[in-house]
Amino acid sequence: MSFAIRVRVVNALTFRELRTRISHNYVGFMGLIAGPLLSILSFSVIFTFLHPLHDDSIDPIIFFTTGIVVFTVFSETSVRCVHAYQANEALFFYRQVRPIDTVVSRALVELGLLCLLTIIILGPYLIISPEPRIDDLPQLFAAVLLTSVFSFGCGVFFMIAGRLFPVVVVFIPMVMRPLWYISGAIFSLSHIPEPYRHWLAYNPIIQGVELSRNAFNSNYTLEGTGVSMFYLFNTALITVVLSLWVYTLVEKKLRKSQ
Amino acid sequence: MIQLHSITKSYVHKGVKNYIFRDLSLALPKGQSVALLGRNGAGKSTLINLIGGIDEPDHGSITSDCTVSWPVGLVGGFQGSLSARENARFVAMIYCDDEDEIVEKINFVQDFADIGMYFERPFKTYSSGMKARVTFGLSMAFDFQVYLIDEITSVGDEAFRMKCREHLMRKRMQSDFIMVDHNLLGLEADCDYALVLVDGRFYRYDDVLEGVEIHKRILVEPGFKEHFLAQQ
Repeated sequence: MSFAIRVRVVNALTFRELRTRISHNYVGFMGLIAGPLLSILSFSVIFTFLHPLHDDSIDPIIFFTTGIVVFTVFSETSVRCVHAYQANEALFFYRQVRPIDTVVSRALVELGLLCLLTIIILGPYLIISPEPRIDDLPQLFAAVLLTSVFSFGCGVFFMIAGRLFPVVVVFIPMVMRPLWYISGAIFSLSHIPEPYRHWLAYNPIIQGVELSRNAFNSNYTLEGTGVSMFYLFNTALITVVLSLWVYTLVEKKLRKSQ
Repeated sequence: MIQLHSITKSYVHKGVKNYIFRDLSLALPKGQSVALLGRNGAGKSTLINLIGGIDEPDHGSITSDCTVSWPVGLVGGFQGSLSARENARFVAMIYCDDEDEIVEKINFVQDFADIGMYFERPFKTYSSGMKARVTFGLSMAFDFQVYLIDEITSVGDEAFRMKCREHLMRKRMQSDFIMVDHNLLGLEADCDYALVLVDGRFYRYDDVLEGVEIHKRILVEPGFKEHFLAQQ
């Protein structure tokens, strides 16, 4: 089917997604920001005063915001995509709506909401802070976007798995907690001793996190950590290509009534 | 023209494969409306869903060179947590390009359904009558070359039923119907031919009433089905 139809369907699904997420009033939207905002604030306070785990070269608010937001882009996209098929089941009634569209719209909505959240949190902070800085804006965009693309690829896999093997629906959210601890949301890769550092660096999410921090402040060094845009780009690309390939193989099976 | 090329469709229940169609080929020509007849569970709705692209066959393919509706009459395709207005907008967004057209479709559905302030409330809170009103209104808001019409079970009161019939007759002027037998609206007499579905095979009757007669005899007369199949 043509590209124009895909755009219309994704547009319609995004509308439906936003309507159910924000649910007609602002309480829904407050709920969306409250979660990440509370973690960012509590981590900033705890680690600044009690246990300076983060790197001195970067402001703690920026350190935790980037870590938590980038990780949340991944975790929210994945967890929501597990349910993408079931939640939109009624809408496959219209032949134009394909399972992949639900993943695209969910990934877009998560990315959009979290970018908005970041602007709401960091916008005022950067204005009032004594030395506001974003050293490399393109790098920041690239890091966040590539993390989101990687999450989308994983989301396609999770949607397929959630539809064909219902046990995954329980399993994926359970994996998110341990993943949180190894994805650099609350620590800096350069503080991790070898050989563990080397292993942790294989995780694309920690790459996205570290690249975002480095984009804010170039003093936050990535040297010797194995973090590179090249690696993140390749992982995202391979994940997406692979997931779309698998998707084309199983699309008919997904649509079939079971 | 809608064509089914050697379709096989089965459902697996408790490990047992149950075939609805085996290697079925069928052509539904343009410019003719068809009434599908057959006992419950024969596969009429399955066929409608396959043509509507909601379900996929195990093997084979379906091709069409015309715009085909979703199955009219079923209360599918609605997100329970969204209101009728939001559901209508969702569908309009899929089929229309500009905002004016979308608003026009939504207004049509609102007028047609005529359910007052319920139009703004979540779909899951509606009574079955209200659901039928919105569902039917949404189907009538768009123009398709072929309408798939599944059994319309509950369509509210007599006045609303009249309105539905009137709208369907108007659609019938420019579109073809592929419809599952239902006496409720008395529409099957308007079809050009009938397809009687027996054991996964279709038998065509150009005289719809003759098809209905055969269908009824298969249902009630013991031994007629075997006799009928032996004759074919």
